[in-house]
This record gives sequence, structure tokens and C-alpha cells, in this order.
Amino acid sequence: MHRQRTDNPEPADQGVSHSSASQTPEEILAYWTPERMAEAKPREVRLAEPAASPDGDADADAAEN
Amino acid sequence: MTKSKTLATSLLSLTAAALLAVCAAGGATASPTSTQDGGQVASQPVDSANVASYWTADRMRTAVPGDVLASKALQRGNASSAAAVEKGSSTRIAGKAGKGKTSLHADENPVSHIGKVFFTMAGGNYVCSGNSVVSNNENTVSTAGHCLNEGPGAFATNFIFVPAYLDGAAPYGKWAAKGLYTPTQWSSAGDMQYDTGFAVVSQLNGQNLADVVGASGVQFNAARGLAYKSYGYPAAAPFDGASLVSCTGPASNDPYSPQFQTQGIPCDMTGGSSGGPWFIGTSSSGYQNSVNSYGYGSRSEVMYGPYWGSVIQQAYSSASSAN
Repeated sequence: MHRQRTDNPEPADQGVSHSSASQTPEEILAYWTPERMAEAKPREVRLAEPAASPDGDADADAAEN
Repeated sequence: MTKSKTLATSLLSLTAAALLAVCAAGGATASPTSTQDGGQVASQPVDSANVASYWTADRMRTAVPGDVLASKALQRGNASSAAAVEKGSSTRIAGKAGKGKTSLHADENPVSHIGKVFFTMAGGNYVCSGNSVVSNNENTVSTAGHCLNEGPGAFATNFIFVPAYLDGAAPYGKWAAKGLYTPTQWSSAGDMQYDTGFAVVSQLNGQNLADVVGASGVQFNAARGLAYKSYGYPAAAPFDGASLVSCTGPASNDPYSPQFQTQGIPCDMTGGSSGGPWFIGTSSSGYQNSVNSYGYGSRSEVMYGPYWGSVIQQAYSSASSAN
């Protein structure tokens, strides 16, 4: 079930993509120093402000921090 | 009854006496007091400009609590008769809402199974929100698809879950993920309909996540238009990501992008709240049925979440059964 992590999505079950961590839990936890946690940026999806009328489609481009 | 009447009467008398005492305290520089309405109402003109300038920051900070004056009034022992206090017909005067913007969120104390997730994606370090959910492996965390996969693109690395995070503290430890799961429609196409993902974390100190912090029930294929309470750790301005925040309200369809089939609730949470859980009902003990996904513009007042149908259920099932 678990595979080495790759940069491309892999199907786990039909319709599901899966990635396995290539690092140990200890390595991952060591990565997150207080400084890195404090400086992590919020990741968000903000779509373009819709037109006044909800009849028109909004621009679906995602703005991600 | 007699007791409560006596108490109420005493409090009313005390309040009236205290108000008079407050007026008297400022009387040295004010105009003489006049009486109206047959001597039952006392008034005096006040120079509002001078009063406002009188209250410097230092004076406001060192002002003595008003209950000191009330204590003095109580010592004087002046009291009207109960009949005088209680006469008149019942009167109600409606209030008026202020012009200030109503807040669409509430501050919350930490909830053991809700936390922040940290991860690396495309070379940068990011933060979102997540929730421990019931699972076969007892180590599964829900979040947004865009918090564990670029959608479309690569999966995140260095993914950890910090339940009940509060201002840098991790009271239940930090849990490293060993597997990440998302609908292929998200990972291969970034389809907003499926912006949900699940992380399977490793045991910490020989214990399962669900045994330590609990795990929310999950519900799929529920009716649309339900009322929800959502949680998250908004970190983008005006928030700072230090503590948990919630939004509550009925869900309605996205009128601008109906093809997403998402639903929105009134909410002004910002970036960092992504992936935070939506619970059916009004508390964090309800069944989880979506996650914070997206908003419109920089001052969004609606948070949208994906409909948890059979596709997202399949991703959940894969994660839940992973070892």
C-alpha cells in the first residue's frame, strides 16, 4: 500500500492518489523547528472577486500564498 | 418572593444612589443641577469637548472602580419606598444595531482533536488546519486537498499535525505523517469539488492519535443546506494563527461557481484556516462533513467547503484502512 514518495500523484485505490513519506517520523519532527513553524505561510485558495451578479462565472484562477 | 423583592428594591435604590454620587463627584466644575418632571429627574449640562479631552490614557488607566462610590452610597443608607420604585406600566424600548461591521467568527479555546498542520510544498513551508477523524488505523487527520497536494501536482513533504495548538504550544505533541491521500480529481486536476485530503500519522510514544486526542465521526452524502460549525487557525491578517477560531451558520450553494457543487457558510476566516473541519450542528462534537476550502477576494465573508460525497469518501476509506 505504501510507496516511496514521488513528485507525481499515484493512484492508491481507484480514484484516490497517495504518497508515502520517504523520511522517518523523527526526521520530519526535527525539521519543524520553532522558527520554521513561526515562519510557515498560510496556504489558501482565494478566487477572484466575483462580478456583482452571481449569474456569471467567477474567474477560477486560484491565488495561493 | 419577599426576599427577592427586597433584594431587587435594594439594588435599584443602590443604583440610583450610585448614579447621583457619580454626578456629585464631577459637580465641582459643572453647572448647577436642575430638576425636571416634578423634581424626579435631575440633570445638568456637560461640556462634552472638555470631558473627552479630560480622559487621557493615564487617567483612564488609573480611574478608581465605580463600586467604591456605590459602597459609599450604600453606607449612607438612603432608600426610596418599594411603591415609589415599582410604580408605572411595563415599558420596553428597542435597541439599535451599531454601524460597525459584525464579526463573522468567534474565538475558541483549543479543542483536543483540532489543530494546525505544517508541511513543505514546492520548496516553501506552509500552515493549514486539520482534525483527527475516526478511522480503522486510529491515526487519520482530515484537511484540505490543497494542504497536502499542489492540485494538480506534487504531494507535500514534512507534513505534521499539531492538535490543540495554542500560541506555539503543542500540548498533545507533534504527529508526523507517513501517508497522504486525496481524490485523484484533486491531485491530477485541482478540481475544487474535491478539495479534501487525509493524512495518516505515525504513532507517537507508542500511542495512536485517536486514543490521545479523540477522533470526530465523519458523514458522507448528507443533505445539502445543513447548519454547520467550522473551525480553523486563520493566520493571514487580521488574524495571527495563534489560536482557534470558529464560524457558525447555514450552508448555501456557491452562486458564482455552481460547477464546484460546494457550499458556503458566513465566515471571515483567512488563510491558515484551510482544512479546518466543518461539523454538522453547532459544536465540535458533531459529525465532520466538510473542510474550509476557499473564499472570494481579499475580504471574503463566506467560507466554502466541498460536498463530501462518494469520491471523498473513497479517499477517506483508503486513508482509514492504511497501516
